[in-house]
Amino acid sequence: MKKESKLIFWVTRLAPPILTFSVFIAIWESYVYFKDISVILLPSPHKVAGEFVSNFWQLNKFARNTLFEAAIGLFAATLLSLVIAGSTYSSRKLSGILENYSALAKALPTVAIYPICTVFFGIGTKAIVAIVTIGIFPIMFLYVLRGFAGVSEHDALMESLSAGKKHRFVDLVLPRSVSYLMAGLRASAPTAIIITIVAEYFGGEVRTLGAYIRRESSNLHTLEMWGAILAACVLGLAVFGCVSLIDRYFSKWRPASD
Amino acid sequence: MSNEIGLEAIGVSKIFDTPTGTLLAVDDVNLKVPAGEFISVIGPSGCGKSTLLRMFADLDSPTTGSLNVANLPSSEARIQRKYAFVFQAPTLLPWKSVLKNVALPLKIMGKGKEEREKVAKEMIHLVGLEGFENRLPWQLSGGMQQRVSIARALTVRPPVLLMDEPFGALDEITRDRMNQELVNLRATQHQTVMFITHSISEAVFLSDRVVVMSARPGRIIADIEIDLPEPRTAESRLHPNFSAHVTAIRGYLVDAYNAPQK
Repeated sequence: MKKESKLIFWVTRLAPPILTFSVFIAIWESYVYFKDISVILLPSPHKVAGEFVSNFWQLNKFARNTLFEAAIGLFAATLLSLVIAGSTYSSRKLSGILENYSALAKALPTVAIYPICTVFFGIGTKAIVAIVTIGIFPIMFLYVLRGFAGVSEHDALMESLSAGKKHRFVDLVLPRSVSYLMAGLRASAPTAIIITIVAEYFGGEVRTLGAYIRRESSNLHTLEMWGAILAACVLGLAVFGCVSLIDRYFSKWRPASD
Repeated sequence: MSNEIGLEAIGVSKIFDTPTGTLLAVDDVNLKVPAGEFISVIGPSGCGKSTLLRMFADLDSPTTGSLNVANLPSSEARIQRKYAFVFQAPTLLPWKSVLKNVALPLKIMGKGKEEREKVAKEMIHLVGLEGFENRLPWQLSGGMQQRVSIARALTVRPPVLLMDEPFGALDEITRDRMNQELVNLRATQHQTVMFITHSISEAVFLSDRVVVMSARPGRIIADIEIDLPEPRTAESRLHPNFSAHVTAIRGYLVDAYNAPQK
């Protein structure tokens, strides 16, 4: 019975997205086939998959470089969020001001930050990391601040135990915020990949996905470009999967039904 | 019992500011509890019992009057950890094991890992939860969680225990068992206890004294000595004095409920 309900759970959870994706691919494939669309304009899904497989090791190398830049930027943004939110959450006024600025900064487009960052860091990895950090910080900060500013009856417990700031933060505030931190990472990690690829597209290290997409696109190598786009999608999904696994590890103290 | 004061409230009142104006929650409460005495406070919902307890714990401040805990002003008693507070909900940290939850007050006091684990294990044994040290709170029943929170309160061996309806969410059978366990614990620990409850029989069974509060604003309308033979056991509930006290307190409570609230 338990095994059966687990099966039903996975079928009902996985079937809709798989079905939707299959329908989408079928429509795409049929459209290219019946309309006889040139590969330069739009390659069919099976050709894109073929390109992805045949060029796998090169794409893999570029994807690792892109992942490195995105990961450093994401880490820096998370660290910055933890430090700034950690030192301001107890002041409602200050954290309120920063919250408003972060909400505004979320609307800042990557293309607008790019020229500013290249002035300071030149064209290369440093600039890309800076762009990712600036782009991700407002998202992470809002999640982390919301987690830190949370209130529960445990605060009264800490008060009754006459706990100092350090113990309150380490034993209560930080672990209580883990679910917010993880939600922030789930939202930020794929965005960090997108920002990295966009920034690389405008000018980054040659051996990265964004730069490769730009190069192949300007040479009208549409199939190679689509192969790289597929690699970017796989990378985004892999990063999201990793964050979900980390989330599961840190959430072991929650009941399974949560 | 010694002549030392366990708990003392002198002319305590509490006014809350609400969106519709001020609300007098507690009105001129005077109370003296000798060290080592178990006192229960009972009264209608919203009469200010928990507010009074939280003021003793320095979690709320009185508008007028003063409160002393273990011969110290309540703020000083909190800083010196002269009391432990047991909340209505167990308030266990869900990411910490039973052992780490029980050891938390000692960790905050800066005790070493070895010492705090030794004391925590003793307290876990005292509340009958050996073997559950490494479980997480969600893996325990409500009664077991509350026993963990009592063990946590006892780790610092405080002279005063402040308990805010700790068994309010438990079923009747578990509640009776927890009452008996609390009586047994007290026989070895001898703290001053202030216990908030809605249950008349629980108050009579556990206490040396029961204080009845009026409907809002909360005032003390009766202060009853409970003379039941010691030690308290399940048979104590069959003693003629038990039912006499229950009937008397019920009478005061009916009057309190019928009185118009301000």
